[in-house]
Amino acid sequence: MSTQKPSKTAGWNWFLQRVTGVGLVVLLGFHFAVEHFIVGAANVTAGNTVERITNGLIQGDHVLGQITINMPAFLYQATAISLLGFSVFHGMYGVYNVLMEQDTLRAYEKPIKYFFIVFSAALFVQGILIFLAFFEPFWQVYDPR
Amino acid sequence: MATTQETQRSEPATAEGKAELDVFRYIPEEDDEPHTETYEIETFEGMTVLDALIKIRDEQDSSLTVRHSCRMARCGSDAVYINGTQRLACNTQVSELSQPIDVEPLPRFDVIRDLVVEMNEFYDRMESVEPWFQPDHEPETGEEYLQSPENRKNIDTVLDCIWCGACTSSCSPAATDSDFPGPAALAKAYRFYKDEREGEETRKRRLEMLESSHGIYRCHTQFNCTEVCPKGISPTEAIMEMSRDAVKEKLRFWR
Repeated sequence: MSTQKPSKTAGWNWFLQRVTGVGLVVLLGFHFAVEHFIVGAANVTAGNTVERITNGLIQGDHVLGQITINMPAFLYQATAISLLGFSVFHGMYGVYNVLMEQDTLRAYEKPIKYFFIVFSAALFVQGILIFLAFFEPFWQVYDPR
Repeated sequence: MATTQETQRSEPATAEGKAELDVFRYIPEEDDEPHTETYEIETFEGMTVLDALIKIRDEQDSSLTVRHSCRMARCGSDAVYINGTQRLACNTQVSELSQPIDVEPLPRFDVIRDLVVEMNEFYDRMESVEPWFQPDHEPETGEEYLQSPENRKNIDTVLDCIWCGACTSSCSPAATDSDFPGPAALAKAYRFYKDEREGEETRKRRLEMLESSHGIYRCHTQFNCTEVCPKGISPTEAIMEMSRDAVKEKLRFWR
């Protein structure tokens, strides 16, 4: 330990892992409430997803009865992007940490680190592209209705 | 797993009667691989697992090897794995255990012989956190480094560590990451980190040292170490407090 260099990023990463963990509890709670209790997983269509993402309109008649919530669009979009970002960071950093705790992988520390950075960035970009696809003119490509 | 095994076992031994022990045996010069030997002994009121092992060694098998010294939970030399949990053999009553009593060496330590494990790696981990007093300057008055009762109370919780290795044996990251000091060493680091007599400079340096990528942030907060500590110390809480302090220092970036 005393021979190891102090890390400038380890503390921040540890902190972000906890922040995103707490954030995920809230965001996943919201996700489950909307997708599984209000709309219902079987009733999710491209059409009502477009409504939620572009207008913040949450409508459903499922476990919680008939419910209509008109969220500000930017707020719903913020929850969607936050959920994406938090999941990618929390999940990828968690797996990276588990790998870094293995003495047998110590020799590959840098390649593994850069792989996770690139892979996480790719996942996030992919998620953003899917998110953007719900906005005109993108959604017309999918002919949701 | 341990719970399932416990439920399949018979009732604990009575205060006086018989007890059956399944003891891990391995003598490198004689055995190709480790095996278990079963011993039946007469018990007496207040008999500890260490008493039982000594009785086996004295009366049945003089080759049985177990490390022990003070027999009163102060030296920490007889930490073993009893019925799936790290415990001190001298501090565990036979009458409280379900039978047969499994006695194995501390997991994740190299076995030297029978229940005796190699402790050098553990001592290296302890030494890595510089577990000695390093004051910034000479005492202000007289020849003593005076400590306030409040500050002493802060480190009370971790002072009782007897270096038995039970916590480090139970710690998952310590098992796979040889650069992680482990709970005992980090609790020891906490003891000096919280000591006001060392001074601000040393405190900061200690915290920076512990902030390596294989330092305090490797703790999984599983509390395994806390559960098995025979002295009731909670290394997890000490580690978390240091982690929080380190992050708070970072958040005060304008200072």
